[in-house]
Amino acid sequence: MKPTVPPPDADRDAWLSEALRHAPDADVAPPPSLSEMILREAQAKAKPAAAATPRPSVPFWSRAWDWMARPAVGAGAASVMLASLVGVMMWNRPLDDMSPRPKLDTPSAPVSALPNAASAAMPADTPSAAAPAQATQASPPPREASRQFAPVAPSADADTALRRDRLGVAAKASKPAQPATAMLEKKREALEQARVAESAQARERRAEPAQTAAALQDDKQRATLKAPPDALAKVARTAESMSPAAPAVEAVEAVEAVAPLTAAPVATASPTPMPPPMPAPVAAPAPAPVETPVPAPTNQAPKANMARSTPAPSAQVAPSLRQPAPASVPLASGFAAGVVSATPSERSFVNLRATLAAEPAPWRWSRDGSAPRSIDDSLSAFLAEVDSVAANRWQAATAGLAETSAKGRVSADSAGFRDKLATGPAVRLLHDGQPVHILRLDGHVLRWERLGADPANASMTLTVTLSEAELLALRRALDQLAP
Amino acid sequence: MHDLNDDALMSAYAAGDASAFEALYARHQASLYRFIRRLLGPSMAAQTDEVFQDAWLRVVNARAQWDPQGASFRTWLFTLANNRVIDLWRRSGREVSIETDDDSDEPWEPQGAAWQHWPAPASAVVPSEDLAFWRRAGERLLHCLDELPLPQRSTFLLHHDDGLPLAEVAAALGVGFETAKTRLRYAMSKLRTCMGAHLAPLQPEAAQGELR
Repeated sequence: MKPTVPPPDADRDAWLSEALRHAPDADVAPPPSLSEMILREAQAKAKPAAAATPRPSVPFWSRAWDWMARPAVGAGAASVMLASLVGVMMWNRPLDDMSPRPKLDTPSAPVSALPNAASAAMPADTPSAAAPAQATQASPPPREASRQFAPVAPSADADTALRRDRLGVAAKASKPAQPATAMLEKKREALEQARVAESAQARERRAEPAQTAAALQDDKQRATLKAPPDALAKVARTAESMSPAAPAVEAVEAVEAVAPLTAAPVATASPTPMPPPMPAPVAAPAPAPVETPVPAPTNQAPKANMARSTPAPSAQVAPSLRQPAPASVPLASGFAAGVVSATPSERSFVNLRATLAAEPAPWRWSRDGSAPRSIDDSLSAFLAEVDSVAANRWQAATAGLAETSAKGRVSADSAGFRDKLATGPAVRLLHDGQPVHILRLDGHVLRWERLGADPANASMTLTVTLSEAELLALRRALDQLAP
Repeated sequence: MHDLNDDALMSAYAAGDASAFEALYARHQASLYRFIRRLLGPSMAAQTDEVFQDAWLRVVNARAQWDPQGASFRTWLFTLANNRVIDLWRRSGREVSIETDDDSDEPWEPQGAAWQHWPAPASAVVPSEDLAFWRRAGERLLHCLDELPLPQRSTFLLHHDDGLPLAEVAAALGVGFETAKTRLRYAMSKLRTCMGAHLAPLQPEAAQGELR
């Protein structure tokens, strides 16, 4: 390669230029390896530039999917989903108390407190004769209110209600311990007090026809007790086993938790003074009868409640609120005597069944004068049938066999006398050998005679008129009982 | 591709066309290599490859910043090489005097005008005896270039060897036009003196040739 001849230039020396053309290094060239290296480097640098075109954008969902596919993200999402699933499965389910249960001997609020809670929770505009009478007593503890509205459980839910009740009782474990017998005694006293108030209230409401929300609650409770009798007994036994120190109290509480009392409590405006206030655990309002919850005029309910809240004689109560029931006279005398029954709470048939299921030991039953027998499933089935056919229809008897003694005492002899007068089959419930309840089928009338178990107790008779179908069903259940 | 000018090829290479760089390389690699070799001189000829490679790699790396405005690609390429030689020269401990004797008004001119008796330089066909003369003259010129200061050497080479106009030489060297012109005049004066002293034995032959 020879250098090109430069163009003419005034400053360019032709001889020097010619000498350069013929210089020994005129044909020198870079080594081929060097040229190859430079060209390779240039090509390598040119490719990224050519490949610098923007890549097609990846859609958002694809990038999100790739992000989710990362192990850490996937594991975290799986953990959250598992926790959510477990949370949903355990939603609204009580925790199993596997720890040893603390020794509880503080009784719960008496049974009479439960209906009061129910009435307090009822709507204000509900036309009910079982209007709240909480003015006479202190408001029930929250636990009682929550228990009152516990779902009415069929037998399968009995354990759930029991556990719920156990949780509530456990919260009171810090209270000072008392002997179980004393607690039971207080319990019984409160129950009896409630029973007396219930009787008076039932008499007041006898003429009132409509049902109240408390009656609806009682229906639910009754449906609960329609469960097989062994379910109630199971609940009672479970409660006893969990509290060795106070088995009776625990059993009663357990049963109450399963079948909460529903009738609104009413402190009956009685002309006689109420019994002296009970100790603290039983300082709850008296219950109202479950059987005949009839509504009271709305405009009169507050006034009646105010009157009932006064423990003094009911001179301040409007006379129109009084029900001139003949049976109220002997009951009033019972109040005047200040009697408190020693029998457990059986102020309603529901409670009677619950009591039998909870404490079957002191109870016996007999039919038509046969030998007393222990409480068994056949009796429980019969009582369930009775409760079914007579739901919310118990009426206080006004004549006939509904007599009570002037002192409120009904002896075994008088019961026998009435047995002689009656013609239909009868089932007698004995508590500690004393007849306490008599269920008698007299034609189309089912009579429930509640007898005082002690000399100072009052008695009363409730009746239900049965239809043919109900009579047939009840006779069938009665036939199942061994004579 | 080879019909495009240097600026178009460089723009194509900046856009990712590797073949454009190959065309540029083929077009300028020999002259650039020779320029670097002569600028470095015999003492630093071993550094020719390094400077040559570095100059082209600078072109490659600066492709994205290439702006065809201003100097031509060829001028830019030789500027890169010249600057690289200056750096190498300075690292070797040699003094690079920019203002050697450029400030003097007139360069020294040899007396006698010996080259006026040299053969005609632009003859298309060089006789064999003339070819031998010019080869010896070329060897002598390389020695004379080695004695020139670097600025004058680069100015003379860019102007006489690579054929750049004086204005582009000034642009390539980053100096003014007059400075470049002065450097060129000094370089030519020194080279003529150097060449005339050693080529004197040829004068009789040349004179005889003219006489014939």
